[in-house]
Amino acid sequence: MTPLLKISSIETLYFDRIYALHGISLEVKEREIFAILGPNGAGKTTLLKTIAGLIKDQPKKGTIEFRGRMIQRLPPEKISSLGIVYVPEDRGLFRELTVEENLDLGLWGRRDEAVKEDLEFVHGLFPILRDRRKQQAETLSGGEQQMLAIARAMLRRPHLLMLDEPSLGLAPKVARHVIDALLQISRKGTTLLVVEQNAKLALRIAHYGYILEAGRIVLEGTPKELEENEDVQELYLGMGEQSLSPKGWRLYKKRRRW
Amino acid sequence: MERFLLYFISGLAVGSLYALVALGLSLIYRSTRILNFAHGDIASAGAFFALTLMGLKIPFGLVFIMALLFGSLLAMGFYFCILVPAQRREATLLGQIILTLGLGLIIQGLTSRIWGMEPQPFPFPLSDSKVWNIGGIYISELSVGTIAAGLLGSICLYLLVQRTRLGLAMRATSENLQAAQTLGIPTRRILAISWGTAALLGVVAGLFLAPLLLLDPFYMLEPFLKGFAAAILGGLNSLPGAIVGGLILGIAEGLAGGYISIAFKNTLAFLIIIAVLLVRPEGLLGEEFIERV
Repeated sequence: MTPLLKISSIETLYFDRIYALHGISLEVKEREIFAILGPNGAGKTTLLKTIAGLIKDQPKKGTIEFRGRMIQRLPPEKISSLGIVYVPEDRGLFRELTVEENLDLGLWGRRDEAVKEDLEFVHGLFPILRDRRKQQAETLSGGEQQMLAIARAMLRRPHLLMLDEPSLGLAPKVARHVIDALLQISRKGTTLLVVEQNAKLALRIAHYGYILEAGRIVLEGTPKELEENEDVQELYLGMGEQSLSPKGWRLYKKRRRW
Repeated sequence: MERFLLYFISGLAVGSLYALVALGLSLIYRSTRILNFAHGDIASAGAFFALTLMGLKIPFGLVFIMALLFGSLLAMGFYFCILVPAQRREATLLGQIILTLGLGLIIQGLTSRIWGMEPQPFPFPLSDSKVWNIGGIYISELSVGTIAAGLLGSICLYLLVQRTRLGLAMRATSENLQAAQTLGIPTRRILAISWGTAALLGVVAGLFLAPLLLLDPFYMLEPFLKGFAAAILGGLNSLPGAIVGGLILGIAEGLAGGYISIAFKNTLAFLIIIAVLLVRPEGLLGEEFIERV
């Protein structure tokens, strides 16, 4: 099966000289959940923004193929209309507008019959949004804002939904609710590309994961493979007991093998 | 009391025109953070265009509409042909503001070249000297028309921005451009419509001001500055604020001109603005920008 999204050795630069992505290649298959893990500054957000076309004139090199079409360097409106929706880390809500108006903007340009059905679906995922519909988005709690952002993105019927740190700043219970909703969205047939710092949460739902460091993909595999990797255990899952001395001191900085 | 009402109403009439000018400025500022220094000049270009059309014996209603269209197209053309390419080349905000200043100077030059520097009377169907007596107050036909135009313009803009989907997209675009783009909203087109609408309001103000003043290439300069001051008084990013600011400025001018001295008219208005801004730097109805980092 041809992948939904195929990225071939893209390079993104800031200010024309600072490399953020060093020739990344990855593939996203239809109907699966893909997770991208990595420390701060690895280029995770840059990668999503590059795909969404939000970084002007980038990627400098390489190609991004979506459903058989080259989409690199297209304007963001165009990419969005092809079916890629990006939910940024700050959620990208219209803070002065009400919940209802935010959702209405998610329906921009849609005139089909399924609008009502989709509204039902997102209200089913996040029933709280119905109670809050007359409230301004900025008065919502962090979790509710994240729910609104995901709901609004879903109303665009994306083929690929890209989420930047959906669990950021949420209480564990709320984060679980959001993650459960993502599973339901995935089951309905939407492909997800999720950037997370919370590796445990991400690996629990993902079908495949990539580990990004300093603008390069250093490791990839199924969640099981990743979890079994010693370096991932130590650095991302906080289980690296082997590298401690009997007194509990860390005697040397372990070299990563990637 | 009668004198008070007289000054009040003449102030209200001028104030509603300031409000229209201020609305146009606020609309652009809100959505693009650009202060449009060509706003007055676009309006005077519209008025001169109307003057030429009237010379061709075209009925005034049609002239009016065509002048509005002319102003809108001018502003939209400026947005698409100059601002958008400038933004593509990463022009700074200040650079874009200077571009509007340049447009203003170009229009001034062209209108001087085409229509000459001589002040010309502007034949207007509503007369300044025909006076109606409403409940003991004398009010000129032109004032009634002016107040009606200000009211109508404000209401139409309110309905457009608050009650239509286009207005919703305008509000969304002005609040968070990037989010609007990722939702597939055609932000360029939306912003162009904002520019066109703003210019349209400016031309309405220009056409109603023309019979009060004589038409020369710089006749909109003072009303533009007043509208600008009114917009700041009301809070630059607030549309209701622009209306309130315009009316306050107009009424203050009317009363000061009547009771104190005509020479003192501008001074008092700006003293009020200074006083208000000392107490509320963000303007009467403006909101302070709170940026999350």
